[in-house]
Amino acid sequence: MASMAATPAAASRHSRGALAIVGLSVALVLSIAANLRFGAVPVSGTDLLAAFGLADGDGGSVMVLREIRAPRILASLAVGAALALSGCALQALFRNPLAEPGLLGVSTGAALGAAVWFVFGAAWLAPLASIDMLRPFLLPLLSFLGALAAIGIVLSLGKRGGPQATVLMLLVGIGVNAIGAALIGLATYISTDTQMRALAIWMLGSFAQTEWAVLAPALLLIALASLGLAGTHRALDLLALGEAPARHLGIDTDRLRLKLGLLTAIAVGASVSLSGIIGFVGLIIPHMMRMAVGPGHRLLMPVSALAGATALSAADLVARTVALPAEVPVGVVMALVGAPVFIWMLLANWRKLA
Amino acid sequence: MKLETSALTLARGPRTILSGLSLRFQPGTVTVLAGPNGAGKSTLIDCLAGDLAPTSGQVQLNGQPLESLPLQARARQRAVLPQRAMIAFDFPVAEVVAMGLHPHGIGARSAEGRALVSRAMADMDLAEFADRPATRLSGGEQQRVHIARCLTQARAAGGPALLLLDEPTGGLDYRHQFALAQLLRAAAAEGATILVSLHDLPLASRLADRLLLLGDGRLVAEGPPAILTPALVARLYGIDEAAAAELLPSPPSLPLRLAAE
Repeated sequence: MASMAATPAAASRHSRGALAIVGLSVALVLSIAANLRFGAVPVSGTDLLAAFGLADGDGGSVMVLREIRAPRILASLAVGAALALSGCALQALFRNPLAEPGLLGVSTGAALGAAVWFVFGAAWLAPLASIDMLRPFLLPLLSFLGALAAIGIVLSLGKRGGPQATVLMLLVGIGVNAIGAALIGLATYISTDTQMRALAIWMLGSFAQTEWAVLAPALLLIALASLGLAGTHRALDLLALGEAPARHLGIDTDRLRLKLGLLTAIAVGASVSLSGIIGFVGLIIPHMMRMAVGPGHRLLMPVSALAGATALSAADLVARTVALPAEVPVGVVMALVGAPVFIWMLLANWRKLA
Repeated sequence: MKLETSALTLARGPRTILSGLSLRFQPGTVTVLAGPNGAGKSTLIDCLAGDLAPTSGQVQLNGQPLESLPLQARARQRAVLPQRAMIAFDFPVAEVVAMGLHPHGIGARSAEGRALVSRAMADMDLAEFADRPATRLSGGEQQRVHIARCLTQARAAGGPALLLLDEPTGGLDYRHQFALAQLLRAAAAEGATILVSLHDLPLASRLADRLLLLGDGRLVAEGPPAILTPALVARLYGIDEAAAAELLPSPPSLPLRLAAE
């Protein structure tokens, strides 16, 4: 990273970083434009201008743009960036490109927190929910607590070193996912039909329910967690040497692990509170961006956030339009793309794993 | 940079790994730590680095208890090479070496940072690898990258530092073993305090001002390289005396500092 300009090859990597940022920004703008333009309700260019108060358009279309598409686009951008950054952080923490909030069970933990809110929220949290200022934060809070519990288990069990560390980490992730899924299943069993439907959407991952009221608190939490994660970039670089060598370079690794665990739980918790479980964003995006701009986190993290936002908003466009007038959960779209890439990465890393 | 231990003892469950070690490491000297596998060499280095808390006894850096020094302050005074240094992800060699600058707040792109990094890379013959991912190099080459990182960290201190190196010659060919030995002698001549663990007794006797021979967590012998007699080596490693005599240089070779001059 910082030593980049020192040599010609490093300088070319620097310009590749600049190229990646410009290219991704263009792709992001295109994805946002396409998301505004296409969907179940036809929208004209005039309607688009009208949504910004720049022209007179069709009232219905303007309402769709302002109240449905705009919050939904923002949600997909924020969740995509948050999941990609969480993937970067977890991969640095485990020194392993296969660490990811979905595979490790952190997203399932967050979904379990959301399930508790859907099924028991009204009964258990009535006194808190009656306070207007707190109410929008209760779902993200419960998702955060679920994500935190999962990340606590994964960090305490999965960090044991040795040559089989990757296998152990992935197996612990399978275990955490199974526990979370079982408890969500239990919640489904005792829920009403309406609650069950909400839970099913949560498990598959979708932005279909996004509205401004739930978006604002989650965006705030994602923004804070993302800034916090990006601020650890130098420590994440040094962590690549191992925990003891990072400590020898002055990094308080115990505190760093705690900080990364908390910030990742906030980012994933807030993301899952918006969209439910969306896997593989945190896996594929950092991996591809590392190939493009190198492993230095000062560049890798902003580029991954940009790419995550672009990819998830584009995936949501596909999810909304591929089966018009119906829509597919975006989590399903991501899994269809992501799972094969995960298997490819497993095979590519096999020599190191076995 | 003075490093001392007093009655340092480390036990894991019923096993005593280090028992009652009182040692002093003085500026300007190279101390070589040797002894059989499982003697406690790496554990001692871990204690001196602050990675393991002793069961009893104390480690002091410049007269202060090690645990009272913040990690940042420790990192500005001493560099540590672990026994099996590694790095995850494809960081280029120059970036790995530049990680040694971190505790000193020297930017890798500053003139000072660039000078320190290129000097360490030249010292360890790494200039041609600068932009290659460290993970793609051979084991010995990777070891040189991590040695260069430690040299950078120690030199960036701007004054005499402490170097703790656990088997730095692992995987190094003769040329780079000698290069490292001369670098360490030169650093000691400038006032650095150096502790190196080695298995190679001939190299140890050429490099060291002082030998520490560890057996079963205890200090078996301590002194200048001349203390290495066939009888002592035979007893320390449990081999017969004739074999021990063949291991040792006879007559004792020139100390490396003379060879270097």
